[in-house]
Amino acid sequence: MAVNMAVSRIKREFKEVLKSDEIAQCSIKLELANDNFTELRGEIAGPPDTPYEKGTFLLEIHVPETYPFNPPKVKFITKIWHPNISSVTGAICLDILKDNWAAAMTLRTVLLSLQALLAAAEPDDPQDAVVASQFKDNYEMFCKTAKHWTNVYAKGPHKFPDFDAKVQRLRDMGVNDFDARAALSRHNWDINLATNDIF
Amino acid sequence: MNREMSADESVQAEASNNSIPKNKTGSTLNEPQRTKSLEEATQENYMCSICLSWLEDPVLTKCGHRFCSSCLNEWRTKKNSKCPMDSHDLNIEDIFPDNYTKRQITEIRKSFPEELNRPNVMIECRFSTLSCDFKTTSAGELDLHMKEGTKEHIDLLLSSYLRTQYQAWDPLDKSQSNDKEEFFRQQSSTRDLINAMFERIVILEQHTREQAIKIEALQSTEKRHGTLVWKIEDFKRKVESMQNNSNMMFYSTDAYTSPDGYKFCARINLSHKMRDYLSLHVHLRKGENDYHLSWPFIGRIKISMIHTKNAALSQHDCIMSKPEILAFHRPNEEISCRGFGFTEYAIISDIIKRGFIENDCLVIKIQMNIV
Repeated sequence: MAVNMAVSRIKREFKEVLKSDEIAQCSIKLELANDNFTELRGEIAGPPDTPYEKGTFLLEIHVPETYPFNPPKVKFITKIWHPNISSVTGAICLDILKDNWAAAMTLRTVLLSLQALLAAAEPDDPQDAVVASQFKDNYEMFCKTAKHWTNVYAKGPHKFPDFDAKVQRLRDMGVNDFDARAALSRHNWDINLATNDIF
Repeated sequence: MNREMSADESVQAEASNNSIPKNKTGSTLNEPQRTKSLEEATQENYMCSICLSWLEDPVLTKCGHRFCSSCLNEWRTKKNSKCPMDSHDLNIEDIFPDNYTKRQITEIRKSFPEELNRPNVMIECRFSTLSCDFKTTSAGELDLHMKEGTKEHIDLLLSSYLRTQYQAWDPLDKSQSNDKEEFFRQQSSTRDLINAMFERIVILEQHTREQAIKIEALQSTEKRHGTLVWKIEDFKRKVESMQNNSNMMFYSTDAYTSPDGYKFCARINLSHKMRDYLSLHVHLRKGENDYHLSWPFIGRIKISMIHTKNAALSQHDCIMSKPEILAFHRPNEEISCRGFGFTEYAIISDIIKRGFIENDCLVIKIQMNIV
């Protein structure tokens, strides 16, 4: 019964989300990743007036057989710099995806909540401690880094040539692109500290 | 903490908007007017926000949300005792069956038979009357079938049309064919009537059975007033069988001294010492009231042999219970092995001679009164 309900519910939600206003505004998107409605691909637009503005973030959604009695498993595929999202794995720390899940919530709700999370980070309940401490101690640096990541990974508009140059210098030393960017981001773009961290 | 609150609120606002599918009927309907009113009808009240389908066996929560009974049960068995809509704590006593909504849904569904668009409910192809046996649970699949099955459906239409032609060649004039329609119409209304009557009969039969059980229960309490009237029928045959077998004895039905009193019965057999004498004893029986009664039984036992023609000839004997006699103690077996009464109650030939036997039946009356 549970399998049946999970699939039939996803089918309904899917139809519904396709007709929703957010789709019309290109603010969220949902598509199937397999034929049996258990793997889906979500997409959310970065909310305006945030470092994620004009970025497009892809999400991996796995619907458990016990859905909607248990929450869907969601993580970011697109790399993102955010206190509540792991910069390495894309894992998300959000209460409704854990203990505060309710059966009346839907995938559309989840996507909208994630969008809200991008707009209102919660550094006191972090998934990524490094990002969270930067958010609290050096907010300006956090914003620039987040914008830079949005530009590189999520087609965001803000380019930071000095950041790109520093990444390039580490790459010249044989470090791969992501590791270089992650290390520099962790060390507030201090290339010496980042280099020490890597080697 | 702060974030939990804010995230929760935004989600709930979304969730309540969300529980109303914009259009659950798919695109197979050509009647926008009706579709719209159905849509209105199904808003919120008739939709379970767990399975997003029609409410099935709806329940209403204390906080005012409706769910299918099975959906909410399943949610609660996941150790989550909070309402899926607003996270109010829900105990089992905060959930009530919502039969009003159940009836409403039944009514609405009746008026939209083609809308049975929910899991496990089959929608038939619109050509099903032309024997297209395609069935599905999803409006989308039906849509696809309607598009892809065009050739098949035209074939069905054609063969159906040809059959109609044969019928038209039947030598029936117009008035007769009208009669035929009328006949079919009547037939279907008769069938409806029979169905309705059948349902009614089932209800009445059930009612009758319930009444019979009640009457039986009443009759059994009637016997609980301390008087046992024992009509010993087939008296001659019984005497003969007791004469042939000295261990043979007959017991009466059970009686009670009062509705909640001692249970007892009577027994006859032939005296072992004097074979022409009838013995008559009263036995206490193990009863459902024994635990609260006082033991040993203390009371008066009046035994009467009734002369049905002339009451003045009836024979009455009165005995008082004696606490030292085991027969008055609480029975350890179904029927107390000791009885009290008369080993030589009456000579059988005497009973017959004095006219106590009427229609081969002897009437013994036993009254047990607590003192």
